[in-house]
Amino acid sequence: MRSPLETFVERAAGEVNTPKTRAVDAGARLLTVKRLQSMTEYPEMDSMRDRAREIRLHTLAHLDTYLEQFADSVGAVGGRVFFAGDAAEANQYIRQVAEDVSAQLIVKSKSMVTEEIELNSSIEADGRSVVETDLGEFIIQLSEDRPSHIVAPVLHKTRQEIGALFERELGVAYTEDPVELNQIARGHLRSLFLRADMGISGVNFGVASTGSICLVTNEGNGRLVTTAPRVHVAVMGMERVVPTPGDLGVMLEVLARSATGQRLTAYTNIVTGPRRKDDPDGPEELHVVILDNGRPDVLGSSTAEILACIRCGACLNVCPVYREVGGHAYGDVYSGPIGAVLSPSLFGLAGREQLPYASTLCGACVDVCPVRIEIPDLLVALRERAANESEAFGWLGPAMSAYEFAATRPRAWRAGLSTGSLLGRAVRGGWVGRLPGPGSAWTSSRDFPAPADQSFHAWWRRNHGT
Amino acid sequence: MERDAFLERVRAAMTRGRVPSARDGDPGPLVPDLPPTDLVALFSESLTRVDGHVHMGDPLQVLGEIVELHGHGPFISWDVDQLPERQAIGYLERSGCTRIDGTVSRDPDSRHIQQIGYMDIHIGLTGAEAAFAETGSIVLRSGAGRPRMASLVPLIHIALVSIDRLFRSPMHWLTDPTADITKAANVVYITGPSRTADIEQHLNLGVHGPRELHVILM
Amino acid sequence: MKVQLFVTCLVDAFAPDAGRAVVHLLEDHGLTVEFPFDQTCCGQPAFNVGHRDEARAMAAHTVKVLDETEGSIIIPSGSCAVMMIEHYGDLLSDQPELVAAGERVAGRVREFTQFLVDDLGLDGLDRVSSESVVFHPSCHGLRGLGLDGYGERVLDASGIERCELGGADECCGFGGLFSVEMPEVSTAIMNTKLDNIEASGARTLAGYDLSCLMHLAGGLRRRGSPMQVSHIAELIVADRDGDRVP
Repeated sequence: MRSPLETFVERAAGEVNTPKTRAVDAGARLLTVKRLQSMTEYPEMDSMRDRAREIRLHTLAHLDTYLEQFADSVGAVGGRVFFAGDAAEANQYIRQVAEDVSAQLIVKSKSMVTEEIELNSSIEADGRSVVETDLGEFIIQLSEDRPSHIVAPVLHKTRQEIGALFERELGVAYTEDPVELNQIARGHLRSLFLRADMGISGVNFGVASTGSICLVTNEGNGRLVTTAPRVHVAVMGMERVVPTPGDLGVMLEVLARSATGQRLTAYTNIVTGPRRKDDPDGPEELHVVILDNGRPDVLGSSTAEILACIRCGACLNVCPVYREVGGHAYGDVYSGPIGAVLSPSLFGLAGREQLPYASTLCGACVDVCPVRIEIPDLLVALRERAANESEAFGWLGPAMSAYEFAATRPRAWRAGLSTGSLLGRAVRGGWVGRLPGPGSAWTSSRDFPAPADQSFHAWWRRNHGT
Repeated sequence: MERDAFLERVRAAMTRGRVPSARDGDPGPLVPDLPPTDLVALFSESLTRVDGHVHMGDPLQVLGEIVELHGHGPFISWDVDQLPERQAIGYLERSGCTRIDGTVSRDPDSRHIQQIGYMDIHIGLTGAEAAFAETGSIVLRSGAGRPRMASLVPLIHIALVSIDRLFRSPMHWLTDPTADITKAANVVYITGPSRTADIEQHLNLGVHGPRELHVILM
Repeated sequence: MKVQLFVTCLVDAFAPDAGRAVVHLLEDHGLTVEFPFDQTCCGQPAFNVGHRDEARAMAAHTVKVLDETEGSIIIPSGSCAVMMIEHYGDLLSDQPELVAAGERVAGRVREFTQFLVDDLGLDGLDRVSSESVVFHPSCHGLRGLGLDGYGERVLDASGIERCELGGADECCGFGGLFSVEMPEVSTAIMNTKLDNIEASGARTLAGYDLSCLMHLAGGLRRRGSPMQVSHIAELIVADRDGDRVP
């Protein structure tokens, strides 16, 4: 699943200024506009965001209590809970459920956490077929690609690419009309839903007091996956719990507006246990897999706040870096500002040293985050970890030591300024077109200004003394 | 992993205490302070914005018009006693539509066969527990005589909704004593027809769920 | 009344004209400007790349230098101002003897346009340039200090013709050492910003953060653009005799 290229910088350099990232940029900007419109028309949004943050942080501060309560509640309404320590345990449990119910065909609704544990390949290894049903994820699966956005997985694909893909993989006549492409997918997936033995979904929120799981989707696949098959397996990151239905309500106020600018998604699906005695339909079995996979390590770390994230994707859409490099450059399933914090926190910094640096710290992400996560602070916290454990850029350490040496010794500082001015006088035209060392990265696209003939310090001494 | 071991790991992490401080205890639900308005007008406006259709007037006549427009096919519906208009099912049947009651077998094989039969269903007819003016949503609760599939597999979903079940916003309903979400295995807010913008942000209706949603206010 | 100037390392070395303009403007308003001579850098470059120990040492030095002085601390940079206001407290928290000093200093810090608009009012500004100006509101001032519209108001009050900037609230791609850690990405973001800047039709680009301006000016030059780039202070205060090197 991880990209074969080593570093973020290498991957990003390959992605900038390509048709793929131009598509990402256009899509991300459109989503940003939609979000902004929905904020403007809903003055209550600010107080809802404050409350949403409170709820998420409160839940994290009492996570053990709420997880226990959630598990008991799911059990009380007839669901089965499995606590998975890591991806392997989660996958093993789900494979066993599939085996127990002799599931041949499995349908899935979009879920980042199942991408995280690479569930599909694990299920396929047993000879079962698993079909992604979200239109975007279906396209990803057909093209053996990876999602580039946590909400809009095929933001990087053009309609022409999708048309060619359907022609090749589904044997239909080429079309690039989104309406026709949609009809093709609908027709293809429809009988699969109704024939499937098992449905797998993620969980947007689990409600501790009721054992409910809430899934928001627009296409209706989330409902079909949790209604048509005989068995429903829901996979939930352990942090996705909220205390009460009232708290769920607050989260729903902010989620869709932040993600797509909708007041609510087309379907807000709340499942509380399997089919009941008098229910005419619905799944006979409900399994809820609660996933650890490194989350407690995050909870006990300086980036714990990232677990408050509700995966709306708003931070991706406004991030200048994400817009230019797209989701794949981040190398893991979680991309954009949230990915730059979450992936190294969850999966370790090794091999991801550069991710925390994939940000200008412009703060646009905090502005749009429905739960006001201080993403730049968390990025800096991870940079500190990188500086101590394994430096992302070799020259940073020596450069910062030298800089600190001068900056804490005023005479050395002023001597440096004087030297700079001397050098500056030697530069014709006041600009340098080419610098050596790390400076060459600057002059690859920008001229560099020569230091002034006379520093401010020197001017002040001349005019005011010291 | 054993539940206790799992929770122990969580507890151990929590003692390291790196989550920014938040409130303690439950301050109660936050109901948005929205200005009073004509709920019917707002509901109509909100649902229309998300490509749904709102109808008023004689429900049977409206049903007739929708069926006239889309042809007479099989329909799946809630039971008679679950609908606020008791004549609706009979009316559709007299118009030449065949009803499927939507109860699937608990036996896996029969269940498959029954559900495959849903492929051709044209119309779904349901009631609704509540509706939200602010968002243009309707709320459907599963239970006896209320198949979930009725609002999910057909191309056209028609919901009969009593005006006295209109709430200002989702939070207004959630905090109402009648709302208890644990009363049903499934509660769904439906906000317009099924949609996607996955392909170049181009809006498409009717991806997997209904392409048309008609709400008849009664 | 006394005020202190914290000029910032970039203005000190690369754009002393901007620092002088700030001094003149403050003096024109009857203020006594002091320049704590041992000041260096606020520590932001090290802080932002995760070199906390180095940043802490620089913060400690800066706090010691500034805490001995009195009056508002005027900084011609939103970014350095945010560094002191937002991060000094946490950074110095393990040096008990400096915590209170850090808080005192942070409480006195004012970004230049902020001081101009909120404290001095917008009277008596010169109109140095007869050419049209477009203003880039840098992110740290915009979001960290809430300076939305401040620079624009200052320019408007001086009577300068101002052009609107599309995507004004978007980052320019500088990001401190990000600009050299990830030059391809930094440049791609910059190009979007430069397209908007050039499309504004203005002849001069102004801002309140030298860092972003250096990056944008370097990019404009590489594009062969004739556009001038100035710190906002230089556009509202005329140069004086004695400002130039003899």
